[in-house]
Amino acid sequence: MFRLYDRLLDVLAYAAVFLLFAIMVATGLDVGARYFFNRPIGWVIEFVQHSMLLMLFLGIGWLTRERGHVAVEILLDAVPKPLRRGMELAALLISGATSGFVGWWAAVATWDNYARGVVTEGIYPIPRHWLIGVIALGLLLTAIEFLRGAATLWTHPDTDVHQVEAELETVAAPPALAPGSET
Amino acid sequence: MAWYTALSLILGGVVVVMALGVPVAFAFLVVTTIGVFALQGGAGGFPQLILSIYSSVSSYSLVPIPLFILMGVVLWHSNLGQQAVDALDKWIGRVPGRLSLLTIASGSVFSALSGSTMANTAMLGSILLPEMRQRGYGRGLSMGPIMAGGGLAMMIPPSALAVILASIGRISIAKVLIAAIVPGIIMAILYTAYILWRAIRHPEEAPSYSIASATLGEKLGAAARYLLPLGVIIFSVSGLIVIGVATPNEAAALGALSSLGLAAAYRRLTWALLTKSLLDSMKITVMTFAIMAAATGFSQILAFSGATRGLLDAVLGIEVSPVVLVIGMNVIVFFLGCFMDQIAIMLITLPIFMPLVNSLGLDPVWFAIIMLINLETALMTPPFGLLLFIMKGVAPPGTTFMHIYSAAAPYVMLNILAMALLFVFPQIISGVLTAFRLG
Repeated sequence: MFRLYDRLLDVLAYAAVFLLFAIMVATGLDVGARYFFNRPIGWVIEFVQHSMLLMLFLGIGWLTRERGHVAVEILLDAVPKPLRRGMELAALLISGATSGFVGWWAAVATWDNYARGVVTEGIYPIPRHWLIGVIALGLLLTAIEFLRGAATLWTHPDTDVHQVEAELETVAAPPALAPGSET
Repeated sequence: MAWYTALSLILGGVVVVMALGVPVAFAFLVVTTIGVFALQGGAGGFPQLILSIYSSVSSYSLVPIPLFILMGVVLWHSNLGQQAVDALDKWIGRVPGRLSLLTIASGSVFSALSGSTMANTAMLGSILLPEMRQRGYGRGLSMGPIMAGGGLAMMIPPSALAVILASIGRISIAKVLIAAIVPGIIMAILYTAYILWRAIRHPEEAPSYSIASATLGEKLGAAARYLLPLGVIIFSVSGLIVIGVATPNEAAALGALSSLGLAAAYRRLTWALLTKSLLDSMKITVMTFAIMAAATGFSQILAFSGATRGLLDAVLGIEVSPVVLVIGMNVIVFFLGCFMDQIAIMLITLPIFMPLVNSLGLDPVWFAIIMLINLETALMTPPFGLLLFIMKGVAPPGTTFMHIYSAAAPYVMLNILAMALLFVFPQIISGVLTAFRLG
């Protein structure tokens, strides 16, 4: 079941990537249209605003699974291992509970906005519950990911839950170096 | 509740939860959630919290953040950095500390093309560190310049962090971007002077080696092929903002598109490069936005509890000169910089500092630039400087964190010197803004 669920996170992350690309292209087209044809594309600003929000909450569940959030580890590194594990477990549970709690309120807000038929402000209004619904979805998926991480840590105590350092090493690992750079 | 109790509970709460290892974004969310419950009449405040999360990042002015990051990532993954370094390499003659100077020069050029210190440092490290090691360079003249040169991406536009600072501090994004250029160049000059001095005094740390001499034709050819096209990107970002043709958003979109265009022109733009660059940029953006969205209620809680007002009155009530206050604020930022992520520092301090700066009648852009250098320095201060970790990732096995700290130390001092210069000569900032008719 988790496989299907993991694919869902991947699909949402790719949707976020697509939105990033769309933001770039739409803004670029708008600049071109304004300077060359003196006709700015009206919907671009609102499209971009909504896309920024959607990018965040479509990508956040995936980012949590990929352990991409930055955390302060100075104390964790200083304490003995069993205590470290306890703190990590607590941190995952606190993060999960908070995301779940706020996500639930976002779901309530989604329903409320839907029931009242609230639309976004601007020249091209869209139903606001679409956007707030994605906040709810993103936060609830994030909560699931944190709790999943806590469960993994509980059953496999040696899991590295803080991968930010490992993450950075991947980022910083030399890419396929160009010929000549090894010299 | 007295304002200082509220302040210590709120700030202390964030610090304790972060120390536990809760990711920065969720540490802010925990404290904000509790704060909303305690201060805004129980559960009744939560719908408002959701709305403030909703409006936090649906902002048109934040568009440069993902796009500036994308520019850096494309530059890095497409290997355009390598050829720029090779071209610059032809132009630097036989000078003391040659490779360290090449690092600073490349770092400055990359900074004008990339908005990500992380991508910048990783790029410099992977391109130049192997050769420096092979030539027997000491750590202070190899890893130090890589971190310092990488950090310049925060100053020289496009800079994602400058956009975040301006937007949290509610200052003009264009002004902060433009005003940071000259201090960025001053820092590069300070690094250069220091490297020359150290390489002359300790030649064993930067052994000289024979270089293949390039003819003027080769030099010009390399510059035309590999440096001039980069100039197009630099112009489409900083140039267009400076001459007032494009807003930061438009410049960011043109910059990102022209980075991809340039990669295509060098036949590097593949489907794999595009998806990898977009995925990496999305990852860094979501991480950044998550913190900003989670903390959006934070400054509201600070204000609502009366902590901001109380602190403001208390500070303005004691007869200290603005000079001492600005120094004090920067000492706090520097201290926080040792332990905390930069965006978190901005979110904690700016809601308190900016009203203070405004009521003292100081120039907010000037203050923002000094703080930006301070935050850049935070990337190199132990134990939690991001660039230190990146350096560890690219450094040869056997390099300890102690080695990396000591390599970074002189450049931390130089950054402090740059801050002092701006402090004594605020005209550096106001002059730039006036020159570009932004003042």
